[in-house]
Amino acid sequence: MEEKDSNLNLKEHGEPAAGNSQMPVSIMVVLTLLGYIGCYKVDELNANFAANVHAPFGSPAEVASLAPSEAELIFGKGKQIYANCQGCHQPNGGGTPGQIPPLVNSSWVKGDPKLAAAIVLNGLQGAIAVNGTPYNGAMTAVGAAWSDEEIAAVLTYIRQSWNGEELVTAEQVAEARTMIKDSGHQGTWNKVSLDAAGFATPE
Amino acid sequence: MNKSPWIFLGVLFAMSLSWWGMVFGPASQVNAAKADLGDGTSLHPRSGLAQQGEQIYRENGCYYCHTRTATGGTFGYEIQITQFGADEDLTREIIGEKFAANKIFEKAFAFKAVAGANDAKKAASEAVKAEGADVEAAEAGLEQAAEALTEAKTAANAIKTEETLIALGVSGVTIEGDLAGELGLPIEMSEADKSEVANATFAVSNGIEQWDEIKDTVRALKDRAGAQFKLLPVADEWPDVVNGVARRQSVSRDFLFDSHAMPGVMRVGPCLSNVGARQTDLNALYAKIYNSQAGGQSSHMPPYKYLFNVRAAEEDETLPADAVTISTGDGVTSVESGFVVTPTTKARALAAYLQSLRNDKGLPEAPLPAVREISNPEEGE
Amino acid sequence: MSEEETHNAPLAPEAKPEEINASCRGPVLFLFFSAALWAVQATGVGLLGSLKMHVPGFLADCPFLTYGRLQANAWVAFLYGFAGNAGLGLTLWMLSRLRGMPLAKPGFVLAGAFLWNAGVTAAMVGITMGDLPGVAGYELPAYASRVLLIGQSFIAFSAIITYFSRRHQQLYPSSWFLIAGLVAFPWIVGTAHWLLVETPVRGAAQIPVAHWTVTSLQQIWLGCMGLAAILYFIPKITGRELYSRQWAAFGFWMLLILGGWVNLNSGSPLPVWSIKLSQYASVLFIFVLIAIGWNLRQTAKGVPLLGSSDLTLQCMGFALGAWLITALFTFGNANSDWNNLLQFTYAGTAIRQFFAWGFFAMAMFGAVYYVAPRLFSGEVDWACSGAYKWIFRLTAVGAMVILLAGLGMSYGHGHALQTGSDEVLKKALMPMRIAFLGEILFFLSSLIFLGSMACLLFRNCGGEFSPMALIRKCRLDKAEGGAE
Repeated sequence: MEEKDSNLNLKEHGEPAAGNSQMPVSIMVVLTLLGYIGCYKVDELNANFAANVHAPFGSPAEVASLAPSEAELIFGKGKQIYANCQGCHQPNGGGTPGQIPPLVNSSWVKGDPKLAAAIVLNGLQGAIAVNGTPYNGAMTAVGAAWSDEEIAAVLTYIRQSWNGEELVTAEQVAEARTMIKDSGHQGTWNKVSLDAAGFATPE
Repeated sequence: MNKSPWIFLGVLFAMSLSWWGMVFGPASQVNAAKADLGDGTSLHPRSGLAQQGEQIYRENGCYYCHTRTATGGTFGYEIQITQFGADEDLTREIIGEKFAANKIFEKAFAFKAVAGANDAKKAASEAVKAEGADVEAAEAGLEQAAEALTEAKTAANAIKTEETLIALGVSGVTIEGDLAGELGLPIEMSEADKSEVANATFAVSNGIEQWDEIKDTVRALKDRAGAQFKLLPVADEWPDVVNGVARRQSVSRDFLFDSHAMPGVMRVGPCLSNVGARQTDLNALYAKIYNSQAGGQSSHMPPYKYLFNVRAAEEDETLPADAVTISTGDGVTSVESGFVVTPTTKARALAAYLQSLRNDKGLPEAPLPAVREISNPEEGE
Repeated sequence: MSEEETHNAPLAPEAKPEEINASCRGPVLFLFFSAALWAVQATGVGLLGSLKMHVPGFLADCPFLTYGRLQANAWVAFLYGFAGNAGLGLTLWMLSRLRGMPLAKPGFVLAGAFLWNAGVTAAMVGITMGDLPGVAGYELPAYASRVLLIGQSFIAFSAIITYFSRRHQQLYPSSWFLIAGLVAFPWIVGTAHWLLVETPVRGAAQIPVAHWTVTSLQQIWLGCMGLAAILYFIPKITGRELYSRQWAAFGFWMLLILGGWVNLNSGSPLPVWSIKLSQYASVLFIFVLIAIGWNLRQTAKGVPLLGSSDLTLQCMGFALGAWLITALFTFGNANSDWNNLLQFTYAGTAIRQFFAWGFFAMAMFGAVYYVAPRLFSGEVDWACSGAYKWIFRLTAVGAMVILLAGLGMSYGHGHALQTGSDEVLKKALMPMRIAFLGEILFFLSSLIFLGSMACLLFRNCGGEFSPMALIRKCRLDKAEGGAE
């Protein structure tokens, strides 16, 4: 017969019971205090639960100041949209001598932005003169499907990059649209129809 | 505490607090995040090989030794004014005498004064030519305007500084032609000049101030002085940026389109948050994945030879174009001497994924901080 | 019966401990033995993985043995294999004893245990084949978590039936922790399964979910089961009553509220508010530490725990100390500077290993030492019980080695990361090299555990059903067959 291990002491006490010692009130006081201070600190540091505030930045105002300004965003957007124009007008806005007019220092771009907006919306053909040089080409209505904001952005980009001018707003583009509608003109512009519709073209 | 149903409900309630705060809250907030960055570009998911590479990265448990999270650190702010507002005294009051004493500041406002006087003179000469105008009064006005312009030009020329183009840039006015010549500016601006004017900035803080110290200045500049400016964080003790690991901290939008986030737990190997910008040499990447100790480099990354096709090299065989090579003392040789090693699709996918890991583009919520010495503008020119 | 009558009605008679033990025998021993097998598996695979860290070329050509997969496998085997089996087995036994009723529906438990082990096996096979879910610390492929959830629900079903089989005057605090453990697991794993694996949320949203899962599994699931054991065995063996019910309740609720928040690294790519809330919870965690620590200190006042002659008490004492140390670490993690230094070093893993082995495994070893022999009626033959004290010693030394080396040397790694030093790799490997020794000790300890469980089972599992008896019977049949 195998020897049983008698070293195991399997005697046991009954199931344990829980005593009734009171938790001191001071602990609850400390917890409340710490909880309050913690809430206060978290409130100070949590940036109002903003989704876009990441360490090491600390507040929505800070991140808003760091973020690109409205003007920079419009410029950037315009630059993106200009990719549709650079095929003809070149990435540097220089155009092709004799064929495609430049956008740099162009009297057609400076001044009232509604002229440029109208051209983007409906296209332009026929003989025109830009900075004294004659051109006789055709531009498609690239912006026919673009929104006011998009046209405003690309015009802002062109004007700010090469013409030293300020922002073009979506409202100005909308005004141009209204003028086009009022004039009743359909299809591509030429110099004469532009003048007739109220968009003063430069000589 | 004696009724099990109460304990059960209590447990559910207690755990739901952390569930709400750590699962539901953040997840729903991130799910609402937009990919659009506001300037016509947006974040986009990986596609093609890079997307497949994410799976290879996960399959091999790379996230046990590598992180994809660059962290923040301490930094200071530099306020860089790109264009002053109209009011010189107000701006001087806001930025403080220390910076306003700089010659560039004075020159910029002098240029503004000249441009203003020039416009006034033009307007006056228009008034003279206008129909039905009081010619005498208009000519008197024109004379006054001409005098004012001369004064402004003299005042501008009295301020001596080398940085005339920067002063012109931050003034926000355009001065061309003969007037430019009279003021010491180039009459015909070269591309470089134009660029310098367009990108001109004027720093009005020391690059060590914290947000709390500059926030009032920032608000005043924007709302009261109407100035245009950029805030540039300048890394102070920011290990990941200063050590070149990454260009900025990782934020949640960096993981927006990942199907598996895998931010990593430990940096036994380097952080991969910007590895796509740091390691552009595809061959070097393959060599590292194949055998990180090739060429005598010290590394404890296990070799991943099974991601490659390895065959014995023929005698005098020239290595194919896609063979993985290393540069040793004997020139460019195969990473495994005597063998031709070419990457399989899995290796290509992994490399494509790694090259897609970049954080060198600033986001609106995480611009790229600068790491440089700040020149002290209070000394002026 | 009206409420008053129910309240005044006499309690159903308590079953005798022997009866309860006997009812638990099959299912609980199955779970304990499975746990022992998984412990060896976990430590063995973990050793292999760690070896590859120090000798990178070792077995590197086999994709199934990639370091990442081995690490995932080792943790899955420990967390779900060992901890799950041992914890559930202990849960069932303790709930039955505290309720004073025999275990109900043992068939469900066995079915659940089979499913559980099948799930863990499926997870390990899946991970070996490359199907890692990508969540370090959780790592259950979808098919595995489904099976685990079903298995756990079977076991929980048995626990619930046992629980409601008798009205009891007062619930002992351990019962609360055990109920919490049974409820927490399906919730945590269900959330992770649903939001991270089955229909994953966007990448960025996975980060907080993954953190909640991993922290809750550790602090709430393992924490509750381990603390239940400590709160039960220390008073029971010393013969004293638990110092304070109130303190226990306070600690319990604070643990449940805070357990899922704590320990978020300050460098995580999450908005600032998440990190601040986590740090706040980590600070408040000191109260859980005080509650548990003070309560048990007062309970065991005057009685040496580590110096006790009773092995279970020694194990529980060490486990308590380990839990308190990790709670202190959680509290310290609220400090951004300290966390920034250590967050990407081996420190986090070291603390996790210390928690897993120094606290949980130690508590389980002590509990199994107490419970397993008592499950057999009559005389128990456990010749290997003498070897059991080596389990305590090896685990304790291994845990301390990992804690001190892992934590202490990680400062060097942290500093190297901050300064961009060239010595980063060397400093990263230093704590891991020494921790490797600790892992060897865990492996040896698991082997001894398996050996003594095997010894216990094979020597005592009912005369005619023991393997030796079955072999003898087969030989006899053969001899008879041959003779004819």
